Amino acid sequence: MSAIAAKSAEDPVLQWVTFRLENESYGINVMQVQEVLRYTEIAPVPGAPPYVLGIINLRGNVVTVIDTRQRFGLPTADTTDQTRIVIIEAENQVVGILVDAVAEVVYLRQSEIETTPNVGNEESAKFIQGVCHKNEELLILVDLEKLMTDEEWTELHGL
Amino acid sequence: MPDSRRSEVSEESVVSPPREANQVDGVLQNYLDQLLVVATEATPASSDTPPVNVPEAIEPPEPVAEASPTTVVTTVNLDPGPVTRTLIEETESLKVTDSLTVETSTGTALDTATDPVGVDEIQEWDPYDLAQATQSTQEAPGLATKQDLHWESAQGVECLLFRVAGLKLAIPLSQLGGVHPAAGMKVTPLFGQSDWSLGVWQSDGEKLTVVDSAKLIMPERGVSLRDTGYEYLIQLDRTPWALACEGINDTVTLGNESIKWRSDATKRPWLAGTVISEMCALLDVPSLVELLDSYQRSPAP
Repeated sequence: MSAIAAKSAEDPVLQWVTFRLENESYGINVMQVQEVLRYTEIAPVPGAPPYVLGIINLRGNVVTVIDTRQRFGLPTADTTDQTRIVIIEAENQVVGILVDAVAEVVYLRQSEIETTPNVGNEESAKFIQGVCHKNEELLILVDLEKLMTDEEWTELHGL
Repeated sequence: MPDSRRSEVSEESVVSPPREANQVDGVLQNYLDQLLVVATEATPASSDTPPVNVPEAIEPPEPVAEASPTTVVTTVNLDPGPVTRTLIEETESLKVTDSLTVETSTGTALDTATDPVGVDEIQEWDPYDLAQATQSTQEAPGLATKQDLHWESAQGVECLLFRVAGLKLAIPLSQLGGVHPAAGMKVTPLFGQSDWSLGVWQSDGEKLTVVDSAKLIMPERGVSLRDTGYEYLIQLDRTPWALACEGINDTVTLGNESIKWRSDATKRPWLAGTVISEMCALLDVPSLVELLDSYQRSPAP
């Protein structure tokens, strides 16, 4: 019993919420996900930075929605019935990220997560925390804390 | 008149090594550049040594410029002509000493150069072949490549030929980590990566970063395998790097004599040399891996 506990401590199991963007699967730490919303009208904010789609009203609270495609350097796409807004908490802020679809929650051992060669010269390359081969496809794990720079988080806080 | 021109060139190339080194280096560079460009043109590469138009951008070496303009050739015959073949035969007799100095037999070379030749032979002579011939006086084959392969052995080295954007590339089988058919496999693109990275392919056993060979090797052509598609992944040795390619040609056995080695001072570190008989470029796998690793440490292009 103690051996199992020790093994779990050495190689913890983490839960990841997976979503899809441009036909690829991404994962974010479940502990940072507060809820998942169906797509709702997003009110644009004049003068907001380009990575901000706008704001939504979440039970009386204003939540800023980030354009995930813009952050990841992906082309824009129309919303569909599968489009979701994932409400996350990062850098002590609650924000929403727009994704093509939310898939499932997967359990990954820490040892299953592999680093990936970083041959990128763009800021967005830093978002990738690692990759994992799961369900016959590569799951790209995203570090939400690095989704934006400190300055951008501060700027977001001021909106 | 033709004799004196040829003699003049030969004297320059043999008697004045320092000057020749610069000239040959430049001409060789141009020659290899042009070879690669020509090889990537629409016409498929062939081993039949077709005549190739000489580009205006390529300047003949200085000794040729001193000759009469009427002797400037308008075609390049990739098969060394009689004159250059003689030079090659002569330069093959050069002896490389342990101290890496090259001993030449100037008299023999001059004698060869002053042999009478016919007009037809003169018309086939071109500066590029001369550059190839004199190159061997400057570079010992073992120094021109970092690969620890037995190119000089009688058996030669077996290489796999594959195609990228019309260019044939050769990789020694001993440095080939594996060939993976792209059909049915999923290469996952990662955002924020360099444009020559097609993404990551992972199987149960290994994870490879797939390189857009066309983008990496000949970015000036603006061809991307992301658009044109690719059929196979060529894994470089036991590294996590794989070159995407459009097709596999064949395996060939290459020997030292069939390879025009490039010098180390090159803007294409991935290129070990060129093989005229196969119209292909030989990959310098260790240097290519080193290049890719360096991009991984500090992403550049």
